[in-house]
Amino acid sequence: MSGISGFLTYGLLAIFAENLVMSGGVGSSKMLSAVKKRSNLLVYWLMMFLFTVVGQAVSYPVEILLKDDWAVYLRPAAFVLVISIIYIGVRFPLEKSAKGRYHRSHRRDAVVQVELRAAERTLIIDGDDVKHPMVSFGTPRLADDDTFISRHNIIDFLGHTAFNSVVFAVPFMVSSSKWEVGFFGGIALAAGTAVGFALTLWLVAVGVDRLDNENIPKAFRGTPIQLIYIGLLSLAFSVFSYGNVYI
Amino acid sequence: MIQSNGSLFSSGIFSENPVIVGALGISPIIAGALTLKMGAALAAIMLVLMLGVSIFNFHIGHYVKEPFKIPANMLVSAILIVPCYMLAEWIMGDSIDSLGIFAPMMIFNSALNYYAYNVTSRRMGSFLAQTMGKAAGFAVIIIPFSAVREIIMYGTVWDIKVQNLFTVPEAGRPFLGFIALGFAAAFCNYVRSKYTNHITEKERGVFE
Repeated sequence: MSGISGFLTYGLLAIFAENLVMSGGVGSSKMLSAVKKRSNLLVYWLMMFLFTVVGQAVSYPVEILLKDDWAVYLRPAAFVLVISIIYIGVRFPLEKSAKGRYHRSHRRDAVVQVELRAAERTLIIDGDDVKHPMVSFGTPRLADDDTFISRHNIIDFLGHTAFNSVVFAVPFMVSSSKWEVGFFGGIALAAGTAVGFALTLWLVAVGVDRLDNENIPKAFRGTPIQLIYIGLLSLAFSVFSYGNVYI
Repeated sequence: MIQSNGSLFSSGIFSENPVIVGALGISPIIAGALTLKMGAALAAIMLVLMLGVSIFNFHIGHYVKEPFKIPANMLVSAILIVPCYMLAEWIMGDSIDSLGIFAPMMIFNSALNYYAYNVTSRRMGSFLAQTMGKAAGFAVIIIPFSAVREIIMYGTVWDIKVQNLFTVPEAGRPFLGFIALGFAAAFCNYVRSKYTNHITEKERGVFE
């Protein structure tokens, strides 16, 4: 397989037939904890996509070097090193920019607070009963502040997304003798794995909402029913594949 | 309140079981352990990694600063996986390749990441009891699961024929693993709630 058709085939294979969560249970614990924090889901997945694709691209030379049987012992450390370098490379600039924004937003925050207090004083001096709309806001929420919070959220779960079994499974799959996919095939497999994870994440997030109701017996509420639900989804996905693809 | 080492160990198996209660580290149970040998090998890998990484964190972990903390922990796990591979091969009497991607994936097991990387106790005894309890909690789930699977799939236990009535190779499919684990978690919830009710009633009896 070559070109675009090969790329699409490997991508679709990773989304459906070889979906890591559904066909291998890989990343299911992380997925169950990720769906609890719904607001971060998209950022979480985007970062996962970045680490899976970039991780696979950078790991490719290592995969070629460590293809022999004896290298099985060295692969884990080699892949951990590669992802660690990417992780530190992403985290440092993010942390620096978050710190910069923190100082800037706090400086602006202080200026706005002084302005608000001055406006409030003026209104009291003028004896005006109606509060200025700007004053009634209370503590101002700046756009920068929100950006600062989201950046800190990103830094918080950067480690979770970078050092994830889904991210690492792709280089391990490609380096095993079963797969002869090449560089672009590996990228397609990584992208497809991340998209497959997103699909599963979405299906589980939608299901978990509906499973949180009184009709579920008490003993089954929470994790048990979520596992059974993922099991049924996995059964549906199993029509795309046959047997255990990861063993 | 300081818990005894025994209660810290047993909490990892029962009340705070990483798999059933925390839904952590479930992928090797669902799709990795298809035979008892595989289950035992994965449980042994978890024990060695859990002990090794938590000992690293107990002694050296606090000297490592962010953002190097997670990479350092992962690297320690990746180095420790080498003796783990040898141990697993010895247990299974087979190449580590038979565990597929699930052997190296143990480095990123969420149960390991969650407990071994967050060593809070400063007492050696209690932290060892805690980490060994979590590893034992993982083992008490994966070992019976893999044994039952092997019986259903091949009619054997540890390669010894135990039944000739039926063999269902589909028992190895992940969807059955998810569903069986869901039912096991529900059973544990039921037992836990019964036990809690029993304790509450007993306490009420004492006060009345």
